[in-house]
Amino acid sequence: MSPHDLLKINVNDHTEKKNGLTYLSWAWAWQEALKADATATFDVQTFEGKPYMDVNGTGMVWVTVTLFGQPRTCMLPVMDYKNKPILNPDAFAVNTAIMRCMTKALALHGLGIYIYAGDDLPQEDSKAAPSTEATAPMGELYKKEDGPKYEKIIAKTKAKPQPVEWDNSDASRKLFAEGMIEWTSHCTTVAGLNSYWKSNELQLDSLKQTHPPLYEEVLNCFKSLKLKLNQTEKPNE
Amino acid sequence: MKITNKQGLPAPLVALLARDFYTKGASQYSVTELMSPPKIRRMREQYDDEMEIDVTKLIASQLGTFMHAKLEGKTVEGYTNEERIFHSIDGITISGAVDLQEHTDDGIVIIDYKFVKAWSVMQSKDDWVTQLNIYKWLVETVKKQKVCGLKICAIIKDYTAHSTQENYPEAEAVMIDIPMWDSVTTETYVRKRLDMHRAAKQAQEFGEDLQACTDEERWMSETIYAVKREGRKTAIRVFKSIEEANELAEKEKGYVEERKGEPKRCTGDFCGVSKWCKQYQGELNVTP
Repeated sequence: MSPHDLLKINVNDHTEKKNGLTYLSWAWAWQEALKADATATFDVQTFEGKPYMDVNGTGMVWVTVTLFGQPRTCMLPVMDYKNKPILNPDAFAVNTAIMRCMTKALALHGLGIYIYAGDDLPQEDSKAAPSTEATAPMGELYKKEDGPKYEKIIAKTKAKPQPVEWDNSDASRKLFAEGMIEWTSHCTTVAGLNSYWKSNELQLDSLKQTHPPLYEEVLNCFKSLKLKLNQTEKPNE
Repeated sequence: MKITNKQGLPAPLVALLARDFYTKGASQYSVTELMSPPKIRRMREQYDDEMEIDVTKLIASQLGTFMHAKLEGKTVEGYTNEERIFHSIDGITISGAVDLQEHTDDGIVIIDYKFVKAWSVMQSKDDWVTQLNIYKWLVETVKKQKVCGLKICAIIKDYTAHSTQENYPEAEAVMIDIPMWDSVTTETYVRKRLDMHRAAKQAQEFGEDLQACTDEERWMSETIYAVKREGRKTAIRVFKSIEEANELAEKEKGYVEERKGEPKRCTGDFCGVSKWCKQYQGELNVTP
């Protein structure tokens, strides 16, 4: 197998979707890497003994995957389930980020890169040439062999739909509001309900500005549930 | 907020004073906002359209702002002027504008200018300690630079050379050393205040009562007892304890007048929202 062949592998059966983003199984991806090159390695960069770089209290992991003697480095913030950087990340979150970053670095070698580029299927042979200005218009900005691909991924990822709460379209805002309402059913205490609201404070502020009726709908749902929960928690009052 | 001109001051002066120099950048909370009572912040936001202030009330604060602006433009090697530092906590951005950073071999000395009355310098400086320690924490956390000192440069607006009061400032401007906190203490404080503000914001959205301001936040003065005598206008002496006052009153054949402590921030409407405040208005309507 050559580096070029990695571009053609269909990874769709080994992905799962979370918060509108597609994730590739790291274990499966690494298995494919070993199949392609039995000497494959990956290194996690450390910073003063820590496996992540401190960025204003949040963490950025750096992983280098070497395939066919070619090292390619990728970085990824340590994020929570909403894809937001975590302050003072714990070991579990750092580990998750490292494995995701390793998978992303494998994408730099071609494996599953079409997912990051927003495509449903890997490229056909005829389109899979390494220099692909037609499919990567931003490529012109970067001339280095490794640089363009990495930078293109960042650019493409940013251009992809972000978690629904930051998408201003009516449909996604509605989806966010519905999601907020739906998930209140999991809140069984006032503290839990308050915490749920607080966790989504920024998105709710934004919703209030862009879609006031939707915001009112969410607010009213929370208010009535809070009233109910208050009565349950303080039956004598 | 509406700005009135009840004294008929000339338009250029009004325009200058009414100009808003203050900016908190792209942050959601400035350091001083974080330190202020959550209830006041929420109410100010709620009643912003209805609040009124006379332009004369802006003079004192704007004079300080003008001086800050002038100092900002004065570049001297080894010093960094007016830097706003941003930091995100749980997705919420807070910021602090550090007036001056002196770069020394041991680290950074943070200096904050205060344009104040002599009285402020003689009082307890808890707020200054908190404010400067948050700046220290921001510099250390965001800029990753060691802070080795905190100082207030107090410029006394009403200085008089002949005052004999205890602790009266020695000159028109004095440097005051501020004790330093460790970063854990400061971050704990910042997170606690942020939680309080976020909880207040949520309570307001939900139409719930906001947590009442504390006595400290209301600048509550102490209740004192004045010993007086018939036919004499002024008190013979004033006491903090009723027992001491009664003792002297008996000796002097006088009587004791109780002067109740009052929430000066509310009574003087320094918060700007006292007329809409249920807590304060409720107290006014209670007959003793």
